[in-house]
Amino acid sequence: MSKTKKHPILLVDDEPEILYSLQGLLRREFELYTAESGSQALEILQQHPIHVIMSDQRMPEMTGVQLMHRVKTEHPEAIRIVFTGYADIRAVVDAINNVGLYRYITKPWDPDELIEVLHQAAARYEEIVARQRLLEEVREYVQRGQQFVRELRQRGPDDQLAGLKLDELETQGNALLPRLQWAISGGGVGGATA
Amino acid sequence: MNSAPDPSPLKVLIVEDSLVTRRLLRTCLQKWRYEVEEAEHGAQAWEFFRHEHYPLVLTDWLMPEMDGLELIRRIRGCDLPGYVYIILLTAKSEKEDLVAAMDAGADDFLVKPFDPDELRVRMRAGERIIALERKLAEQNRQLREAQTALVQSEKLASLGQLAAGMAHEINNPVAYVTNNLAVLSREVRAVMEVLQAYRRGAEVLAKADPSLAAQVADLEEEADWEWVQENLPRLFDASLDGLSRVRKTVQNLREFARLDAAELDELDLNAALTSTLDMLRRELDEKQVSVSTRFEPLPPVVCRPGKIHHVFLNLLLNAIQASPTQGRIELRTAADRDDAVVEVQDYGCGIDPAHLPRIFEPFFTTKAVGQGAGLGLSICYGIVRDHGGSIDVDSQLGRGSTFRVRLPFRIQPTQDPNR
Repeated sequence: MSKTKKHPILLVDDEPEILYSLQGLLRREFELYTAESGSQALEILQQHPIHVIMSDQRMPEMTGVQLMHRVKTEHPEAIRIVFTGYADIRAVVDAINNVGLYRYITKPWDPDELIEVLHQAAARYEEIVARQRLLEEVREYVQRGQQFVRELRQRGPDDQLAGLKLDELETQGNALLPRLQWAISGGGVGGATA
Repeated sequence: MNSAPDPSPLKVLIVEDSLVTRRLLRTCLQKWRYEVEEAEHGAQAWEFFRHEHYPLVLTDWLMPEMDGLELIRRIRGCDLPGYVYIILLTAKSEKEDLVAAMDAGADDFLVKPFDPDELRVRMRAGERIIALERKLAEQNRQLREAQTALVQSEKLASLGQLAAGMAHEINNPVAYVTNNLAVLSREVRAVMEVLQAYRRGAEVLAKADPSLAAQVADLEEEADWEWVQENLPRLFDASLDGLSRVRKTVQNLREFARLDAAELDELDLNAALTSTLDMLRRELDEKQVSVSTRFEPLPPVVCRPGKIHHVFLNLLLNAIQASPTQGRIELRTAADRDDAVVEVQDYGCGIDPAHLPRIFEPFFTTKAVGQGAGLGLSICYGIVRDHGGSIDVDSQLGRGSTFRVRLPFRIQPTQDPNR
């Protein structure tokens, strides 16, 4: 991501004063979207590419963790952060394991630390997107290789040794493709898990 | 009187104007190992009562200065630290006389000249009453203590809820005020930089538009520009400091478990458990829960008794809450090298294995919001830990739980439970 473009970040809290306050803090460094409820947040996620979503835990109707469940399945590329008062930490610690939260931030937060965490989260998003792109490029490359191997074999290999090499390459390629597919779709360490 | 030596002989006051009778009484009473004091008449006896308490008084009726009946009336009329058993010595044996004596407040009487055997049995009767009275007073005291402990634990529990609720309510405004202040501080610094840049053009402005330059100079003077420039950062810093103190105060409130500083004392854990059970009689009866105890003789444990009572109360309350109607609770104590071990076992609902690692954490609760702050076990944990002991639990869902508390008989010198 170039310096000129700001990372889009979605802030979710049922208390407008908090949203207003965060906007003041973050407006210079990030492109900000705000929502006062989980459902409103999901709507915004439909309309805009969001890199990082940060939500309060304690909200009526949908809690922060419940929202993150939806985000994980519907927008797995978005980095997820929950911020919370002390008494809710337990729920959020659970969520780190179950919903793949990148971080949680306690209320009241330290302003400098919050900015730092959001930058780290944005960098994490970049990493994941870059890795995703790399994986897709590698898959494309392997697919083209497989195609080429098949063509070579149809033409008939020059000698027995070359034939064996082609067999080996095709076997390896066949084993790699499903693993690449799995990694691209967010399997294993994929997604936004820290 | 039994010939076995009594550690604290009963104090008896003889009030009698006849020296001979006094000496006779003294001889008898000392033989039976009473501690004896003599007064020659009622007024002297009353004077003695101002300095000392005599649980048993043997008094003559007719005496100079103050007679026996008046002494009895005075003793009955004021609030003495314990009951005074009074035997009236008298030559009068008419029924009306005896009624008058009993009416004044005498417990018993003895006709003069007295028969030592009769004196002995009447003294014994008096002693029985005194023993009963003392037992009653002791039970009363224990009851009051138990009640105080209960009130204290309830106070702690409600304070915990208050602190938790307050922390939540204060958190949000403190969060955005802190944040706004940080934003303000940053933006004001930026505004100051902009202004400084303008000020560098002051000379140019003075030439181009002298009236505007004068206006700017006036405004600067009115606002005391130098002061503003110098003090703005300090104002922000001081405000941020103040807010961080508010945050700390809220945090300190949460550590209420250490609010009261109790004295170290020796405690008989078996007796403590028994009295805690008595305190919970109503809860036990309501659910028809039976308790079986297996207590090993234990040396006393040096601890803060109120806090340990609090731990037992909480564990037993939890066991009762976990138990089904007509359930069973087992209470065991044992000595294990340097530790006393107390086990509270119930055959109730048990604890979900997923919850097990967290049950001692503050604010962890499986109860609905408002029904429990989730602090009971965390306070127990804190108390036991502060005594250099440990608390753990074995539990099977649907089978029941066993809480085990280990307390060292001697608190380690490095550990201060009121730290």
